[in-house]
Amino acid sequence: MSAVQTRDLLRSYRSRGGKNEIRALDGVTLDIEEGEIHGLLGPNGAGKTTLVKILSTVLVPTGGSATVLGYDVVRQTAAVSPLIGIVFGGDRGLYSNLTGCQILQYWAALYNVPVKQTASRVESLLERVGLRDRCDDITHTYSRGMKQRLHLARGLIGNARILFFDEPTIGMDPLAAWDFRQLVKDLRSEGRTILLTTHDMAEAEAVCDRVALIDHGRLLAVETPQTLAQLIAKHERIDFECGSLSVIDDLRQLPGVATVSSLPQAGAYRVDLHEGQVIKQVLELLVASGVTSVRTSGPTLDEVYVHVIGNRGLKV
Amino acid sequence: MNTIRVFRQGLLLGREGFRQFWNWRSWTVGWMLRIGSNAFIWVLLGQMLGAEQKRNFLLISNAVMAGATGAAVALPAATWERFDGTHALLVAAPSSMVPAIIGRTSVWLFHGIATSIATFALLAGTFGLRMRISTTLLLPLLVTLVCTSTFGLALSLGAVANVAPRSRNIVQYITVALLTAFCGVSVPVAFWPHWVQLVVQVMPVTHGLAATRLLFDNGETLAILGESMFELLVGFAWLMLSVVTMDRLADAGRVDGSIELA
Repeated sequence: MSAVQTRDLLRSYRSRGGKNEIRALDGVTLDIEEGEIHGLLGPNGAGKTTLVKILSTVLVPTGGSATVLGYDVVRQTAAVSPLIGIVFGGDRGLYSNLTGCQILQYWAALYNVPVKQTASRVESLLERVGLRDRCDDITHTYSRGMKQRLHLARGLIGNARILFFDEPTIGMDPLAAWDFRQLVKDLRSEGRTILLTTHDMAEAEAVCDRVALIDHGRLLAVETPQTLAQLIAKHERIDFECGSLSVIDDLRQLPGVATVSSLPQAGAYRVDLHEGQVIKQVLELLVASGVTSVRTSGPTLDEVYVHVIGNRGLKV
Repeated sequence: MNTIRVFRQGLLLGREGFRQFWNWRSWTVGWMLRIGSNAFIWVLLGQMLGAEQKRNFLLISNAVMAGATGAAVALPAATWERFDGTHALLVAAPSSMVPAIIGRTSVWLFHGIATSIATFALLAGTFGLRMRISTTLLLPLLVTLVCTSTFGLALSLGAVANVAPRSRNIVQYITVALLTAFCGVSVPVAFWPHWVQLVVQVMPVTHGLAATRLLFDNGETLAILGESMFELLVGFAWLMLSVVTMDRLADAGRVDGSIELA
């Protein structure tokens, strides 16, 4: 059984004035297996948050179906609610005048954690996210990273089997984000399923088992980060260092070579290939020309994202 | 049982929020000075009119209304989950969010009761209003009734104000102004047209204030009890309406997409 399953999921609403129908989600069909960390990548307004809202029962779809561990998110919300946890990014979603401990006790009550287990559950979660020493300080005094870890602890208070992370590391410094990703990986080892929306390609690449690219409410691709990269990796790339400009001209004459461009470092160049088959000829030419520093690589997820979604600048 | 537990947690949250607003000094010098001086001016006007009856009318009105004004803060407080970004989390939680919100906002009910009692003490002491022991003992109960029914109305309107949270303070001010104008605070209910008199029968303050006047006027016990029961019923009805409204609006929010994740 899939942890999350959507079939032709549709969510539309009327634009201001009610003239046009806008589809925030347009026929999304997606399966997320139990224990999987699934990334949801897309630009602003792509439909990521709409999908998370539907799966977390705070939004009703206008068409199609969605289930969480087999329970319908519209008709069986009471069964879905205890199974899920929602983790936001940013400052909101916490009561700034309560301590970390008080916030977890508050949500423990709302998640029906038995009274006798609450103290130990709260303590172990605070220990786990590294906030035990600060548990009696009001959250207003917490750093961004600490707030994010408290968000995670709150999401786990009901022992959720599925966690929805909405831009969890937004605004965090790199070290705090790295720490947070380690916590996310630990959750996978416990068999929890995570759906993570993010703009951060490095994050998706670092923690996700599979990634769905979404834009205009439609899924464009659902693959592992590596497979997605390979989708456009038919054009390999080769970086090399060389002192002779004649080699550059020779490379440009080869069929299958898209571009040869210089890199910021002095004497360093990059060859982008249309076809992977031509790589052997390029390497032979470089070796024959006395080039010894050669490196081949594929595109990063970042580049895949731009390739598939398209570079639309600041437009949403 | 869990409902009570959620309510208590909400109450704790409300208490901590209240502490962020007020401490004893700011509550006394800030809030009570404002409410007390407003009531004081009205009673002074009554005194200037020369009749003790008019002065006492305004004294009782304003002391009771001071409590209702305090309890009406529950109206904007009912929208604060939207501003905290916790509304969606409450909607998605396994337990109903209603006890949590009632718990969080009920701190303003206690605030209202304390305000009213303090205002009574201030005005009665200043203007020499005599209070029998029975009046002194029963007055807090009537004040509690008025504040509770106003709290119920405030919660109902607060639930609706969640649709447009930025309107919360305006709705609160208008509500307090309407209660003051029509429910027998400034002028007797009988002053208004018949249809207004009918409408105010289902509004907070009207019956509780009438019961308080009867108490001070040494009225019949049965009449005081009757007005008190009406106030209780009105308060209960508004409170139930607030529970239904909160639930229904959460369902409506799920459909129209107005529940934001953060």
